[in-house]
Amino acid sequence: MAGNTINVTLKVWRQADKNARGAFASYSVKNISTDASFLEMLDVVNTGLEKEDKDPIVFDHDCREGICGMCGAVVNGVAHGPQSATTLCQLHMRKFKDGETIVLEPWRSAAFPVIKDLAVDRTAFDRIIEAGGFISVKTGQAPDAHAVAVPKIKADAAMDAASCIGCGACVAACPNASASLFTAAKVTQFAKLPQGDPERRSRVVAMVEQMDHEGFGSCSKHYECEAACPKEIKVENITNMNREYMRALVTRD
Amino acid sequence: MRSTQTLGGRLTTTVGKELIVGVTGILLVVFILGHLAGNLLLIVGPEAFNHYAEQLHNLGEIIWLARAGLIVAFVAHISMAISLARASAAARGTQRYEVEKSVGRKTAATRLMIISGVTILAFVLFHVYDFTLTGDRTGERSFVDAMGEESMGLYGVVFNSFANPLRSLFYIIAVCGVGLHLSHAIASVLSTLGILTEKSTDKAELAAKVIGVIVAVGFSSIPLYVLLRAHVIGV
Repeated sequence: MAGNTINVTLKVWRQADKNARGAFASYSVKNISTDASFLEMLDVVNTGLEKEDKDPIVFDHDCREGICGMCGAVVNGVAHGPQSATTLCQLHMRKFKDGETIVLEPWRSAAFPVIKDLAVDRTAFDRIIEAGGFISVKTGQAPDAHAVAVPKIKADAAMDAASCIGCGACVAACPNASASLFTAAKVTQFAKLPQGDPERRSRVVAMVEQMDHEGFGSCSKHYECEAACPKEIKVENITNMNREYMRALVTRD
Repeated sequence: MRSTQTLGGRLTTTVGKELIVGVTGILLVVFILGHLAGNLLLIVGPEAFNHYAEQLHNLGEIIWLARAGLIVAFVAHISMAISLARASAAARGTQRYEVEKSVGRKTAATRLMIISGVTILAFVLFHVYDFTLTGDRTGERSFVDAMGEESMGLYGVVFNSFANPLRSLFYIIAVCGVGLHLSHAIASVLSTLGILTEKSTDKAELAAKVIGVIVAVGFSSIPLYVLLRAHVIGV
């Protein structure tokens, strides 16, 4: 069965490097299968550009299964595009109308400088993780699985928080370019578990300090991050991060 | 040694500043609600309102202690909020999005917090000057012609002030700004202080909107009442 095809116009942000002035360029995309993923559509466009000896559109991608966190762009004003709880690679062209103009922009944030076109430098996230430090575990033989009891509710909350793939959509969607949702998810996944408990206070302080140092904004509760997050990380994690932070104000590890 | 090794240092991060904004904000909300309850006595009548004003003044040192606390809370609230807003504006970067679409809970109230906040600051400065600093309770402004030869005290000052439609309009716009601010602030602070859960967020946002409306309508009712008495139904 032959699938449907559509024609769209792409208006893409093109920027040569971090310091270059970027601008939008328009591309007419003909006969794209509605079964193509968004990134496959970009592949088709890039193949065409390369045939004409033009610079292909640079975008980050890796697994194309929605689990690695590499891809992402703002599509018509929404991070990762119009389908909720979906990464850009898992978005399909059937979500767009024939003849539609699609505006494609990189994550825009001072802490995520553009590398080229749609690819941004997200190493700021790595440094926030690094600031979180280590967890104290006894080396040697692994303990029995039932030796460390974890209540189901806490295990679930930690697992939900840990499903963050660090794509940066929360920062892209936030009017303040705040990394609160990302940082909060990472704080929460450790704070909820006994393994992360010994350093929970110094960890939250160090990660928040690094978040500020990287130049991210603060949370003013627009909750755009939660709506943009492809992994549906809840803003309740931010509330939890603040609770952890208050704990660190009154007690020490 | 990192600055965040000390309590003071930990209060200077974005989360630390948010906590300061939240705690001082709660104090200010408590004051606003008390202020509203007291002011509504004006509708009860001159005796009730002037008696309330007298009682407040008779508190002596306590009133000054409360005023000092309010000033500290107000200054801390504003300075921390401005500092956060500046950092957030810088974080957004210089290149704006060509297309921006809200999929979350961004509203006029959440976006305009700093604008409504600065407007409230300007209003409060004028308001304190208008009634506390220059509102001489036995002076010329306290005599209401239609109420006879006697000074009507603070009631008279307020009555004469709000009999001016322009001043009333200004106050109504200002208190609607306060209501708008609170309609987001009250839910926001519960999240900041780690109280909200996923389930209670909707309820908190509704409660914040209700309180915002109560504050806006409650405070607006005073100039509206005076306008009605002064120009329509008579004193």
